[in-house]
Amino acid sequence: LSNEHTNTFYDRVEESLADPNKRKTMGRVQDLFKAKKQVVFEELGNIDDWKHEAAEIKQHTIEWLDTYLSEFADKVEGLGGHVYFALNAAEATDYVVNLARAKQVKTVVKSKSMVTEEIGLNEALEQAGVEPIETDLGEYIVQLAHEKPSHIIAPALHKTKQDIADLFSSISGQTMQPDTHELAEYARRKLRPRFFAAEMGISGCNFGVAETGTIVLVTNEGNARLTTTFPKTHVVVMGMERLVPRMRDLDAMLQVLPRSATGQRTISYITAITGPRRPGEVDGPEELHVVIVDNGRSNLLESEYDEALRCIRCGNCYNVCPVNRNIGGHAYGGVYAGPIGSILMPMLTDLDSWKELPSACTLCGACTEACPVEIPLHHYLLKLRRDIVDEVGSGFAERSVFKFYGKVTGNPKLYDKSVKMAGKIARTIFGKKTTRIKKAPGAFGKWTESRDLPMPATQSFREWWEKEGSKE
Amino acid sequence: MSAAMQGMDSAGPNASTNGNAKTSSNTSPNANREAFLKRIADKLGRPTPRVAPSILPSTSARALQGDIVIRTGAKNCIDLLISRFQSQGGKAVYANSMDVILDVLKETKEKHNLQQAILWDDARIASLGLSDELNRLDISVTSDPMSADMGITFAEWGVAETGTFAIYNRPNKPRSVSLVPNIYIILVRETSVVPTMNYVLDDMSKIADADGLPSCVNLIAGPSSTADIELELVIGVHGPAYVTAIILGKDLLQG
Repeated sequence: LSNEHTNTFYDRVEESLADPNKRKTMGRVQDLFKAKKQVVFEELGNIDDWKHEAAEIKQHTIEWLDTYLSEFADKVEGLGGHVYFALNAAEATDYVVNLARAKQVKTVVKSKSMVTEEIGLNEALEQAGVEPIETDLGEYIVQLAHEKPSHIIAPALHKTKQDIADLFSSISGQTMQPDTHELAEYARRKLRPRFFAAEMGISGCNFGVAETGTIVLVTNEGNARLTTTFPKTHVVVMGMERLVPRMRDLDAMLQVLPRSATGQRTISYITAITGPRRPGEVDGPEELHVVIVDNGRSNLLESEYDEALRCIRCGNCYNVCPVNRNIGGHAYGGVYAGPIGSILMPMLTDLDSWKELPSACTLCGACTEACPVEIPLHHYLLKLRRDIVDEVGSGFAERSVFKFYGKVTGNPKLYDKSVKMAGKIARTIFGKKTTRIKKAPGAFGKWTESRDLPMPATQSFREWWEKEGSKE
Repeated sequence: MSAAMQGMDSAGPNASTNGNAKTSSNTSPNANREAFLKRIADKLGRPTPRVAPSILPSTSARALQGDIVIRTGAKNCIDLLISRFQSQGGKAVYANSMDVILDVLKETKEKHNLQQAILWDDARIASLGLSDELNRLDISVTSDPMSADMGITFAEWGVAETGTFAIYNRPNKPRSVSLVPNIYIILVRETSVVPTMNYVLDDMSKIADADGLPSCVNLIAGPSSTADIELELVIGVHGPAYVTAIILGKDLLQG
């Protein structure tokens, strides 16, 4: 799994906070989504019934995952498709790269897929001399800018129109205006011929239907349709938990996914692909390969975090999270960001590499309320903090501080004395008239880097109570 | 990313790598599948069940939702389909005579300088005599989707609640007709309009049992669109920008 962040979580947060554009954009995105979502959720009437149904279907699928994967693979193979089970990222990318080599593929058109980001498929293809072209408009922008998606639904949300106009201008050699229609038109013109020339199309999978072996893609742009219509070979890369048992289970999924993802009642294109092109058909891929990826997902099966496997990648938890609003997706450092990313990244890889993420949460619970498949996100984040302390440990300094703190607060006399002492020391250093400390020394310096520290009160509550409280 | 880079030089698409996973075989995809499924069974703490689960999750939200026409205050499913499809950026008309269809075609030709159209080879379209009508309007009929400005297909279903049309692609009814031209016209029978998506899903499930599920079903609910740049809506980024649905009334239905 992509573990490539070199700077620390705190550096990344600093970086994000220093960029006022980014914060403004995230705020605008969250407010806009909120307004749009409210309308389509209310229109549905009984949204809680739908969420509960979606959650139960996904949970049931996880509990019978091996059975449904068998059924799904048998169906795909029965239709003439190929299925490959990849235990980890390397197995998955090897399979695709080797297939591309065997078919002498020069270019691959890709529709948006988080799991291919997760396994580093583009990098693997590039290493093998195959050019992967992202065709989702947001992904296309991010790829041209040599960046990573900042949001699972809208990957280029961190960029302004002007950023994109500059980017397209530098590539096309002509000056482009920061006009959304002009920019989208440019991308369409550039990408259209690539769909027809590419020998391979790679897509993700929103839902796999076990009973029919159907792959369901949910999109607005239509690039996934082009990707799965023209190239001779279609490769589907899917996380192993993407399944639902029956076609009718899609009913609830299709009610909650677009509403939660983009605030839409439904989406322009839901594409249900069942096997490769049939005899007599003039378009559609001649070969269909489905790569089913574990890559750490089975870690969650036996853990107390198994419900996180219900996730349908709508990004709603990103959109309601007050921390994400301020630090943005990139600060999390992983392929999956926001509340769900703070669970998935440590659980799919290791706790130590991602130990800060579960603490980047106010435990406000907005994510849990927003989740369309009832994942107890903020409860999981709290549990993960405990697991991280248990497994990774908490460092000598932190342990010493808490030991000292425990001693002082456990003894009333000692506590009184230290409170008085703190006030005295602070007034000596900062002067009697200071009310807020702007720059504190030592360990408190971390605090005052980003906000003021209030001065300790001149008297403690206990002192005050002794004098004033007794008058009542 | 280093883990993903290991073992790049192994041969054959089915070859697996040593990585850090325990794969039992490097050659057989089936062995790979068994190892994969066994790992899941192990983590779930039980052997892989030999029979499918007998108790499946309920799908009762649909029943609890109540009648969609009553709930939305629409006059009927057709009206709801039209209003919802239009609210999603499409156009929709109810046609009880050939004149309505011709008006749509004339208007489209004038607005977009239509030259060439591509049609599905479909008995339902043929029975309307659309090829001749297009020729009379000086719009030539082509079999090449790349050169067509307009595509016309039939829809198996119209879904009122979500303003969706279900396109079943089959031999002579290719996917590209509803995808490549910038203008797209959907024809659907009035009698094929259903209130909600579960009707379509049940149909797909049923025909799959008889090996009749098409290799590609498109559920289309509006024009191609994106909001990837500063969340501003742009129509027609990859697929058709102009989509018109014509709901064929009883008088236009033959056979």
